Amino acid sequence: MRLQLIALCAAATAHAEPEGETATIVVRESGYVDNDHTAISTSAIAVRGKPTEELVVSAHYLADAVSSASVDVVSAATKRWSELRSEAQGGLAYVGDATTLSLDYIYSHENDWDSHTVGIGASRDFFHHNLTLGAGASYVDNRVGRANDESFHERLRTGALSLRAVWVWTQNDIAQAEYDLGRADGYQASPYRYAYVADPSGVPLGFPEMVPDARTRHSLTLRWNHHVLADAALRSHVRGYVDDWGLASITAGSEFVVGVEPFELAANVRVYAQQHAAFYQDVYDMPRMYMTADRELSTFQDVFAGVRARWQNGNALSIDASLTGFAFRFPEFARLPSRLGLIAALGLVWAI
Amino acid sequence: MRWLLVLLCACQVPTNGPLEQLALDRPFFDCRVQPVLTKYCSALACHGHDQRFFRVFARNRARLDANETRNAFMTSDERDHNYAAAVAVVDADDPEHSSLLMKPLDEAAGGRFHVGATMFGRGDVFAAADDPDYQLLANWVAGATEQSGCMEPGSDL
Repeated sequence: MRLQLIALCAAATAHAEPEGETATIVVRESGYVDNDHTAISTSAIAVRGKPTEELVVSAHYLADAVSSASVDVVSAATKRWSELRSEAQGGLAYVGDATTLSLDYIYSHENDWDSHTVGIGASRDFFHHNLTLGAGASYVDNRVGRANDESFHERLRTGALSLRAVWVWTQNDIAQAEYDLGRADGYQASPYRYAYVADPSGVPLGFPEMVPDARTRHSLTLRWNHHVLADAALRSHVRGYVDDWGLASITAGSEFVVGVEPFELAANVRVYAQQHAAFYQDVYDMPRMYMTADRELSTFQDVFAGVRARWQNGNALSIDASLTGFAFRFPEFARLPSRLGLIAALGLVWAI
Repeated sequence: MRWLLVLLCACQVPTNGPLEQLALDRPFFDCRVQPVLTKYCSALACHGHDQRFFRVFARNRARLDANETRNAFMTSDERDHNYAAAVAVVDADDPEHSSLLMKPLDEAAGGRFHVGATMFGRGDVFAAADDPDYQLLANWVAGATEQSGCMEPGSDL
């Protein structure tokens, strides 16, 4: 959920980078609400500058204000909680004629979680910029705590590698393929969640969530951007995912974008289907080594659909707004069989 | 299908065998621990509530069968459930820091946040670890035993 909001922010930053300018400032406000009694307000500011022709520096600060009384919270004998999450990022990139190199650092803090992320990336163009090959790697060191419990300290380390190829196929088509490998080692359960085990009395027993310490993930994403009509494009993607927890998923999405000066209008839809982790049960048959109450490890499907619009005043200023609705169906999670919600975002991009 | 995916994944899905739990003494539970749960935990607004992951039943408190007379003696099903529910929140790897002990102990005494501490404005269940009732819980988790057949006062057994 939070990643989706960050992605919204990052996407807007990327889309709104006018050519020939030396600095860009992006201010963004997003709101999330769902029928699981959770609301999130995200405020973000991002700056990007080019001190020289080939050097790009970037930074962003993001704050999430979260308020929740979801089923996880209620079953853990905890009241509605509110908290502030903060994230700061700094990045440096070299953008040459055919080569790009990048280095990023992100620090994220919330009352029960701290993380440090370092990422590097490189890409090179071939065949007159018609083919780009890229690779990236990241490492995240997470310190996991539990609210109001000074004695709880856990650690989670994650690493990721990605390989990417972008091919300008025809004058109207761009294709991209990306493979991602991820590995997580450490505490991956929630200290607040309890899994249920069937009891002869008919009232299930609650056990603290326990999941394996290691997880290896693989995903393959294919994208295709197709230019149509005078100033329109269809952007489509499909992604397959598997991991060694037995979880498998597929995602497909498409966005139709049309330019009607001075506006850009878009409509998008994304569907997702997932098969549960091997050890997931809604109510366990007996106490087992691995037990989770994470509905996102169950079999589920979701659909996101939205619209967005951007108004641009030359290269100096643009304002964008989006509204996305979503629906989740959790057939294996009796405590919350479905979740509905909305995400709204408003952004302002100012180029200097 | 799953095996094909696992093969593609080139890695092994973890096996999920039975959880090792501590074999805590049942007579000590029935005789010493149940009265503590009755006294402090099983009220309808607390761990008698059906939305709590830790639910316990007691005479004059929440009942397993909603049609049960409130002050009827506890049934064997209720006793079995309470024992299993209590064992479930005992950490076999670190019994001293089990939720059963940390949640009802005031944070100032080394306990963990417990919403019950905020509900009635009187702090957590046990202000200090030397409370005699807290000691009963701690002793049970530490392996204390009781004579077979020992049962809480006022029960029908």
